Order: sequence, then structure tokens, then C-alpha cells
Amino acid sequence: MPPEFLTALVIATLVAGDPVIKRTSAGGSSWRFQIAGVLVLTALAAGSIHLASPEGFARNQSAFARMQRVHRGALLPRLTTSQAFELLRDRDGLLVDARTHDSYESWHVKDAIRVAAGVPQFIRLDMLKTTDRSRPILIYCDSGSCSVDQLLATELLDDGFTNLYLLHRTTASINALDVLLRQRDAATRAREEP
Amino acid sequence: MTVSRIVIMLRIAIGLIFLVAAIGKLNDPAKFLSAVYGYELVGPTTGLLTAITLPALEAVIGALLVTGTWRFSASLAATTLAVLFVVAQAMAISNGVRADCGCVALFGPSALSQATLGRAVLLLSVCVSLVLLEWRAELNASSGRSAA
Repeated sequence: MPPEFLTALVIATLVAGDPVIKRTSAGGSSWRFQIAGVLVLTALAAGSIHLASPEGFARNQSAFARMQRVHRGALLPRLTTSQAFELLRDRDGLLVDARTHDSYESWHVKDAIRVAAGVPQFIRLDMLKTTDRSRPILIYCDSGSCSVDQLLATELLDDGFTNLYLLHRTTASINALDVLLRQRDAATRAREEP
Repeated sequence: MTVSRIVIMLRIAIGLIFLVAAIGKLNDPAKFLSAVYGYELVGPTTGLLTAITLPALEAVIGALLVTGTWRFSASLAATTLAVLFVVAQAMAISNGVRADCGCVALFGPSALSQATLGRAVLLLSVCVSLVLLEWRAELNASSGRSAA
């Protein structure tokens, strides 16, 4: 597909560009007109490729659907610390730690429960301790290279949970959420004390 | 070697890079869509629109640069795209994303890293040089026309 389309694209470019080249040599042409030309050519090229080519998304919608399915964990909303805090505070969200058992035992965000990815469904649901499929669930993972939050989110989507969120993946976000939750608890305790 | 020859060589080299990048993406649009989603910067719809338009834009810019059509505008568009590549890679790397960089197929599949970011910055600096050289050429040409 690409060689033929690319050839057609080069020919179209030359044909479209020819009058402008003549105009330029005769007295100049606006660069704005040329940028508009680039955009029009791009739209034409994108349209022709995806409408006419068997690999194009218009004729191969299963590829698009497959990619969305593969990446459905990664496409979930990723919340900032303040958004995550509001979700937990205002919407009775469940905070889930997707890291390893050792990491969780050594330190975890306050009130987080650990749910392992890659385990059988009955174990996962037992660890989750909720059967409410619409309850907001916020999953976090370690900073940097950790992607197990997406894996767990994908598995929970398969289990029928519909209200899933991921925490922005930096150590600062995780630590800041922990601080906010501890401050909230301290404030609650202070109010309750006589 | 005259400046104009350097400009022509730069323009054709960048044009070929864009064409090769476009061919790699057009060969397998689904794989490129996967790479776009892998950056975790856009949602499903924006990701799809990006995966549809970006390779076509690269092909158009590449063809314009190689054929020497609309030289200044094409180099300006190439620079804009290069800025987008650098910003997207920097954001994804700072977010700790580990994904295929979706870069030029010539270099093979490579994970997002400082090296791929460095390559994008190098491409950007070459594009900026080309824009400046083409701009100077445009100014010279227009002053020549005014004098005539």
C-alpha cells in the first residue's frame, strides 16, 4: 500500500505546488497560503489512505477496536493528587495499591489495600473486598517504570468494574496523596476530641 | 560548498527522514495507533485522530521538502512537528512511561529513552537551521524582486 500512495502523494504535491512555484517566480506567494495548502494536502492524503487502503482505519475498524482493547488500561483517566484526594473524600473511592507484597508491607499510602495483578479472578475479588462494580477505584503503582497499575486496571475492567482511575505516576504524587489523607484524618480526630 | 547547496542537502535529508518515518507508520497504522496510546498523553479519540493525520502530514512535508516545493512553509511545518515530537517525548519520559517511541522505522523499534529524546532534539535543531536558512533565502529573493 504505502509505495503506491506515496507515489500518488508526491504527484499530487507536485501538481498542487506547480502553480505556486510559477506564482512565486512571478512575484511571490503568501506562506499562509502555503501552510493552508500543506493542511489540505494532509487531509486529502489521510482521507485517501484510510478510506482506500485495506489497512486504513475506515476499512479495518477491527484494528482500531483491538488497539483500544489492548490499551484500555492505559486509556483510563490518570488523576493528579488533588483530583485523587477529592475522589477518595467525596465519592467514597477505594484506594488500591498494585505494587508487590514486599513494597506494600514496607510502605503504602494510608488506607490503601493491596490487590495483586495477574492472579486468578476469585483471589483478586477477595483482595478487593468490594462487590460494588460501580464504586470508584483509584489504582496506584510505583513511580517511573511501573506499569502494573494498567495491568490490574485491565483485569478489573474484565471483571466488570466500570469506575476505574489511575494515579499520576510519580513518587511525588503518591507521597503527596499520603500526606493529604493523613492530614484529613488528623483534622477529623482534632474535631472529634473534646 | 555554497550555502545554497548546504540548504538543498539539508532539505532533502530532512525530507527523506520524514518520508521514511511516514512509510513506517503507513505500513501498519494499528501499530502506530498503539504507539500513540502508549505515550499516555491523549485519549482514544485524539489518539485516533493523531494516528490518522500525523503520518499523512509527515508524508506531505517529506514530499514537499524533497521536491523543493513551498520550501519555507514546508520547513516551518517540519519544525513544528519536530517541536511536537520533542515535547511529547519529554512529557512521556518525565511521566515515567515505558513505551515504543514510534520513531523513524529506519532505526528499528526502540523504547522511549534519553537517546530517542536526544535524536528528536537533534532533528529539531536541524529543522530550525533549515527554517532560518530558507527564511534568509526568501528575504533575499523578495529584496531582489523589489529591486527589480
